[in-house]
Amino acid sequence: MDTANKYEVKENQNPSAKEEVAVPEGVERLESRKAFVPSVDIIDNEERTVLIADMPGVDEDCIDVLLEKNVLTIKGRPKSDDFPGRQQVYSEYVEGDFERAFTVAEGVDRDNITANISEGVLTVVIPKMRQATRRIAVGQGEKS
Amino acid sequence: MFRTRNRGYWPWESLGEHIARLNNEFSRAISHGMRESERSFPAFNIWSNAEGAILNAELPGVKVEDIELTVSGNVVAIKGNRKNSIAGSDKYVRRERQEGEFIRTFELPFQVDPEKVVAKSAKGILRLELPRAEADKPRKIAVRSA
Repeated sequence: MDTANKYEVKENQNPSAKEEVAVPEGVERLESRKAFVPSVDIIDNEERTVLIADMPGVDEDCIDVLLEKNVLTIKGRPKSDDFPGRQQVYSEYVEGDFERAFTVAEGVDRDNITANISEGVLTVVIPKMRQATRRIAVGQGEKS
Repeated sequence: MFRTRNRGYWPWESLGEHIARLNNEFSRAISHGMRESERSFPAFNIWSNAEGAILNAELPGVKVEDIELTVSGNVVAIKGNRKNSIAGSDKYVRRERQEGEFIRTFELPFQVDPEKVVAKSAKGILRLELPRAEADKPRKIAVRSA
């Protein structure tokens, strides 16, 4: 093809770099596919904490949200894009899995965590338990 | 002992300090290079053949209706705005996702037929089909012997 190598980005920006999932020292990944850390926003108010994660290419069929003890893990395994008869001429992102884990605080309503994915954005809502401690009024009175 | 803090180089510092300072500067340069805001957003991949190109961009949370696409000759521009919704009593505990306006311009090695451009998005990935203009395609010329 006469035009294969002339693709260029007009603005001068650094190529995108997704952060790869770190593995403990001395441990290697069994899979050849790379795993990346999704970017997240966490927002919080008195009633609940919301975790929002960017996971492009992921839908409800290839996502796992797991809560084990106090660790919440999100994992997404998007399908790779493949265009038969075409060659990839330019690349800024590598396709791969998404993985990230968070510790969940005490006082979370574990049974009512909900998760939803739309347009490649995962939203996990983690409700907080109603305050379990009750304040007891201390009166002033005569000593018995 | 006094030292000039605002100077980058101080000839009397010990070698250890000197190396520590270089390391700091080095890691600062690296982390600066990797800063979230400096990344190209959205990132894209391109596949191509003689008929045209397919461009995929990672744009989670942005609908195709909210993207402004301009095609002019061989230049394609994608413009949009990714807004984050946060309600009254909400506070950010962490804020890593790219937000705000973005524009990316891309020059293809062929003229695009703007009438035939298709844009769609699924699962947070925007896909542009950019067919090569007929007039721009190479033509095979039969060679006859005289």
